[in-house]
Amino acid sequence: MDVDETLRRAAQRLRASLSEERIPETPGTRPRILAVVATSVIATIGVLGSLAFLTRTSAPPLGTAPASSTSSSEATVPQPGIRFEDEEHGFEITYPADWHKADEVLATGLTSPSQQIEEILSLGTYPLRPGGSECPHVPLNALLDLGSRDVLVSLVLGAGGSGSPWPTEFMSSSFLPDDPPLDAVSCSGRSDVEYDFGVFTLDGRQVQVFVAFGSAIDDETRNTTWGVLDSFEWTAPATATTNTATTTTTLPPTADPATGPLFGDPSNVVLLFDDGIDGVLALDPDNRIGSRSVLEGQRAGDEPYGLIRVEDSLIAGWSSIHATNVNTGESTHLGDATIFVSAAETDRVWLIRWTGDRIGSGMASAWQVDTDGAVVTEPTELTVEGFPAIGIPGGLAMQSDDGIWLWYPGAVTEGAAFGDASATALDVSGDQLAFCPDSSCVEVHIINQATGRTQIIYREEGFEDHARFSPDGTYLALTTRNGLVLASTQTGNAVDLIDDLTTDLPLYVEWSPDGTQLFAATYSYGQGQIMLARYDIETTDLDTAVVPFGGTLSFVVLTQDEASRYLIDDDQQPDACPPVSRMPSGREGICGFRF
Amino acid sequence: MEDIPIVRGVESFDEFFRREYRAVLGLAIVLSRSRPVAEELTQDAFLATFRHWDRVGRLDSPGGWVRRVVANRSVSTFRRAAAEGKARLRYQSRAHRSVSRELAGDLDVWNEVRRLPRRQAQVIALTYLDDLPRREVAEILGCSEETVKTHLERARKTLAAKLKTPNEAPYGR
Repeated sequence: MDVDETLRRAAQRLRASLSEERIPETPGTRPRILAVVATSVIATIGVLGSLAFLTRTSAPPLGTAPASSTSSSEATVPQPGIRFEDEEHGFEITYPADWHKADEVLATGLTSPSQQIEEILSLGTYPLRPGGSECPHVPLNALLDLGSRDVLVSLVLGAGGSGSPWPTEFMSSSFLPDDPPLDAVSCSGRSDVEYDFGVFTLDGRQVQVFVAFGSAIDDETRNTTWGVLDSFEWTAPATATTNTATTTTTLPPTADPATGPLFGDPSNVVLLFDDGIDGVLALDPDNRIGSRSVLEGQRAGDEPYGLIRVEDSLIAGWSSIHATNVNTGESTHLGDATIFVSAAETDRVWLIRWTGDRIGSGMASAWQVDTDGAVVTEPTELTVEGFPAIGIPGGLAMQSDDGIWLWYPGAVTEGAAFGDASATALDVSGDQLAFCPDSSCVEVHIINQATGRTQIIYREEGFEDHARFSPDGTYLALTTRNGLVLASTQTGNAVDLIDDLTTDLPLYVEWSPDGTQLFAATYSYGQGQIMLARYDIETTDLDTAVVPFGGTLSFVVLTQDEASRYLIDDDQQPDACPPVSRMPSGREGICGFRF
Repeated sequence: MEDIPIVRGVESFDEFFRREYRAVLGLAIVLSRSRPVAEELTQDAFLATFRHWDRVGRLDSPGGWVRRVVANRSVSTFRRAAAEGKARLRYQSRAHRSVSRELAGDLDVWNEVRRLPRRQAQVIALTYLDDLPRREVAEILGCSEETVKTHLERARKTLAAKLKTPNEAPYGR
């Protein structure tokens, strides 16, 4: 059998295996980010499909209850029931006397210190076997034993602090109602099982709920299940000993949660996050103020082309690119281009337009503008096939199937290529270009475009694709699975490994404008928290914190003065920021909160 | 390559989604290898399509549009990182590093496809998985048919060597 036939047959088998694939609900028919509606006592979202679960909340559910929802009067726990109290985690729940409670954790590999989760209770209508031969994050054996008339319920304690003063509408869920945990399906092979999977916030603590119903589940058992969940109550506030969020976090809060600078000492900066929709979230760590506002040009989608800072301007947008001066707030339309790419020259930006108005569609041309919108170089066809990744002095670094090419408008021939087809351009400072030469990214190189000299700045497994030069170009900060690596571009050696900073999430890193502080923040789109860090270059002190809201992508760093128009005034009464749950957000002006 | 709106009835996004979902998921699985990551990529691609449905739905090939989004995102390390982040959140696990079960029977084949240069991997996936002619692959990837032919020939040659199989098939697609 030759290679053509081998590929044909492999493709046939893959298509056949997907032919029975369950097609999920059409995207766009409900919010991608499901905000949690909360009251001071109890809050939930409709992911459980239990109207009874909502009887104690004054706010309506944002989620869409599934068709199998029942009325509140039906969702009760039959008597006699067992009232179980968990003193360690501080909750009570009532379940039918003929149900089984697991004595051990079912999903033995579920607990993740960095994500602060822990299975706290599993119940079923049948004996529950822990563990499984594979997929330790799934209650595999219990799922395999699930009969057609059985139900399995598992509760997982998530992140979130108790009694926190932040508006709970900022807590957002990454789970969609009815969205099946497909890992459970693929690991167990139980596509016949009806899954309900969701998260609710109760008294400031997140609990994730996993429910699996057998295929012939009857209404009575279904209603009983909702009744069991409805009976859940906290019996004790979260404390350092009862809330894993405060005991196992990789990035523990270092400052008092209510007063004082978030990082202990003032940072004198504001972190401005791309909210992934149409605006920015400004986070003032010194005064513990957060504010959301719309940014001209900012549009949902395409994270890699998010917010950048060029001198005094914020550049945002795709299709229509805008620059907003942080001092005056004035917005300038830079041009109609498919995307923008940062330029090596100060106060300039590259605009890239494909004739098909989509990335890679048709012929591409590039031109440079300044932040006032003045055209610096006329549109010129990109003669190198590939993707313009980042500006270099006088041109662009292009990622192509032949490696990274250096392209200069008007040049007869382009600069030499380096790296292979998977080479990635990372960042530029002056003549220095940092790049990964191959897909493994085991090595990170810096090439000096003036001298042609290349040095290896990092050589170890685990680089995570994000690197930033310090403003003066003397350091390169790299995010790795082992932590944050700070390397000297003068010596080519790593000068510090900040190994306290390990996370399962993508980590962004940015420098303060004066280059004295390095900030890191986790990707938090669809999450209820951001993990933050501040590293002082001179003292090598690391301060970390977790803020209890999320919904952010990359960020830029502004000084306090520069950021004033993105923050509510210190004496302004924080108003309730509505949750960002649709696109565009519909937000006008600025709203804020304290944390 | 210009997208030329054509005058025809625009099908509903729901119909389009149900018709194309499995095929697009398959493409993402092959190029990303991970089932949860593929789901995130597929979901994001259809969400992007949904947002632009007024325009995309009138294109000659909305299916090509969503395939291009998935093909590009699947081989983009940044976007993969974002998708993996979301997948990890959703599954609260390291499942993104697990191999999709759909690939299990031909893992060696698909692993070698993924090791190809990104454009070659895209061409192979689109050509074989969707059984698309060269012209449509070229339209999806925004390149010429000649470029597709070159990528396909190079990819077959590499795969034949890696998989230790003959490369007898004439270039006919």
